[in-house]
Amino acid sequence: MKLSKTFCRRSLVIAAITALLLFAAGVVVEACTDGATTTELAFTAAWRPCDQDLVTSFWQGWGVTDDSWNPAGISDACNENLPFAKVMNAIAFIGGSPTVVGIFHQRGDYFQESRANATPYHDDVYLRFIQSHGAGVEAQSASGDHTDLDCPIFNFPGVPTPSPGNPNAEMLAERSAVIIHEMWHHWQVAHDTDSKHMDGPRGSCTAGSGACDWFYPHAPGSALPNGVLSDSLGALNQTNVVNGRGLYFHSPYQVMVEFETDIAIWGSSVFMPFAARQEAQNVGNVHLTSNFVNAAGFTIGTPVPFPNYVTR
Amino acid sequence: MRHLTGATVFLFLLVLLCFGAGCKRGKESGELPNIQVVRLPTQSPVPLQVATVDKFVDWVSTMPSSQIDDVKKQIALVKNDPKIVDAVASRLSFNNLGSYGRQLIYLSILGEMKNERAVGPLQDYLNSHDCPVFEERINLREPAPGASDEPRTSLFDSCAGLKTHAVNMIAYVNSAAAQRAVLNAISEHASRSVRLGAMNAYLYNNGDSEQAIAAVRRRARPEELKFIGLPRLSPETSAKDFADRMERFYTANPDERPPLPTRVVGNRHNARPPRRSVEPSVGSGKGGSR
Repeated sequence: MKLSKTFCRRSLVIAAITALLLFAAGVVVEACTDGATTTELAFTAAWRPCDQDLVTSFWQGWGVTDDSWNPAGISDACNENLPFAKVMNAIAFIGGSPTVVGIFHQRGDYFQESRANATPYHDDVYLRFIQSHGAGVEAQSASGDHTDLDCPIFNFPGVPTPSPGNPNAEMLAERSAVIIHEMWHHWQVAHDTDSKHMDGPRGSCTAGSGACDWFYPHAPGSALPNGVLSDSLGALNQTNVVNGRGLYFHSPYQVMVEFETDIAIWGSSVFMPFAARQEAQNVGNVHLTSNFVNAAGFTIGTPVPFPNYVTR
Repeated sequence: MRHLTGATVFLFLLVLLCFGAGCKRGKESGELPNIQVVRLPTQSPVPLQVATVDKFVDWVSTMPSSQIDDVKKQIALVKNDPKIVDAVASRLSFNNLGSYGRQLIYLSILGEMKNERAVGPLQDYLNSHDCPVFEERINLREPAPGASDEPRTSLFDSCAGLKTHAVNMIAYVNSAAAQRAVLNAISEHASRSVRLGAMNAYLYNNGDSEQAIAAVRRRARPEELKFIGLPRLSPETSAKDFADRMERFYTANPDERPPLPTRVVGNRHNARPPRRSVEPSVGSGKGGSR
């Protein structure tokens, strides 16, 4: 009898704690600077962000499964003002990458590479939401089994700021490219190559601590030494390391730049707003000129006000 | 009865805890999700007037790329109107971005107008101290003395991105004053991204001519001479021509070829990552403040 009373009391305490935990999990707190741009809203309307099955598929496939997402909008998953929905948007945006010939890489490769579930590209990992690692950090994959995504890729810049010049990387194209970049670190780990960036400024890299890579040049649709074309499905996962000519390899900044190029020039005009593709061209060119120790030997698009991207 | 109640509550809580803590492992699937999209609607063009600048930019920021010609037509109708130039230029700001993309569009409108009146505001934006570029900011991002060098920064240089688009638009105006401003940026601007952007834009807007190349060569910093004439990858580019030019760049600059990648063995993890979040819920399916 005494035992039963104690058990009931404990049960009630557990119930209260559990109720509090579940309530906290469902409550959305001010995680970053909430809000969404008109371009983000337009893009959101063009896929199925409120389709529970699709959101669940993204949640599982891209490993947005850490409890750090609980207060970041996971229970309000089609509210694009919040970080969780912005990750869903970024994943859908990767789904708008092209499938034609003559590009850097195929949509299927970007999709496979960016997933958190084990793929031919890397082992099983997951995504964490981090409000702040310190000034200027967008994301990092310091530990082997996860990637952290930080507020700068979610912050809505639509309100005046008293401290201009703060990092702004909330653009859909950049957010999506950051996921691709970070997952490439897991590729590096899975393929026994050094996954660290170099510190800058150094050579042609104007960025600072831990933000410089080598650029391994290859043209879109180029023939690799083994005869495979670089724009064929699966070619992103290949390497041909040959001393001198024929070196085919990718660094994290390079993969993100190639993705941004593919989006800008050949991305889906069906559901990607022009403005998102213009952002891809712009941010891609900034990475090309600021994150590579050696010279990156091309520029994305033409420097005109309203570029004529491929429409299909 | 009390035993039964307690046990029932306990079992109920156990299920809830398992649900929240991840005892239920989500089904894994190698299949890529099938995203069935809705075509972005073709919108009625918005006339560009002083009172409609924000509405015009709303249109440009949400429309599909197939409407670019509509945008250019609307801008062409008012390109000589100084009030429109002023109204758009008044929205250029680093303190009140609206968004990064909106700033790009304001800049694009001013470039597309090719109106001399826009050169001044574009230059002010290009040279603004309100938004320091990497080269001006770099000291702010060094780790404090004695501190760990983690976290490692992976910052995007948004100031350089906007200023590069500004110099592109000045170059597109391509008047004598605009050309002077661009050539000056090639040698003097603090940002390498802007300097290289200025080179590319000057050459593009002057037909990549020998005279233009010579003018850029005279202004470029010695260590940046190699960047003159980099190939542009665009829909108009011949794949073969692009590949040849890229190859020629690295042949002419063999020091720019990367070294072999470094092998590091033994970093792989074996443990399966935890699943700890609640399951996502779209709730009412109505999102936030759309």
